[in-house]
Amino acid sequence: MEIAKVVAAGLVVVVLLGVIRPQRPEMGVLLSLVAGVYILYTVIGWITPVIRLLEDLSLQAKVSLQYLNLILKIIGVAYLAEIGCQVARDAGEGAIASKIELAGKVLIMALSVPIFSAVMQAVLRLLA
Amino acid sequence: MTVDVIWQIAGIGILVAVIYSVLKQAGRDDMAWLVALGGVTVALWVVIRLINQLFLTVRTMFQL
Repeated sequence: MEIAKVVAAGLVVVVLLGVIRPQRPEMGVLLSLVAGVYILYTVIGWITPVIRLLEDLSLQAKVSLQYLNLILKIIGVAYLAEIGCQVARDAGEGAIASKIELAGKVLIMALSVPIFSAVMQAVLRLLA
Repeated sequence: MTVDVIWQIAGIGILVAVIYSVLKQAGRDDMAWLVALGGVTVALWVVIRLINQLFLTVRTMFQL
């Protein structure tokens, strides 16, 4: 039933934005940001059991926690970059939105360098 | 992080919009602009505290 709360809050904010945005565009941006943060808070509440499950599975499968932490870190980066990018695009600033998106992608690539090297070594060991 | 923050920001927005147009009708454009600026700073103060709280939660959650 939590989805009803989220959908109701979202729709009410859409109506409020319809009132506020024509008069005061900057308040509209702030209001859409707050609504986004509220919905993301409920989503974070739902994600925690999934992360617990991932950690337990990786422990049983004896996968080193380093990789799981890296995956979580990448999800976090993508999550935050998405927030910033959507709010910026919503406010009409397409240029800033794409810059935020670019920063997110580059950071994710930088974070996944150790995995690339591990995969490369594994492949080379197979070939050699 | 409850729904009240949404009502706070919406309230500030509507209040500023109304006061702005009232002051504009009265011919006090400079006062109107100051009120709008004040409204934005108050809302920004609330939003920044909220974003800080969200970033802390995400940091602990994803070990960022």
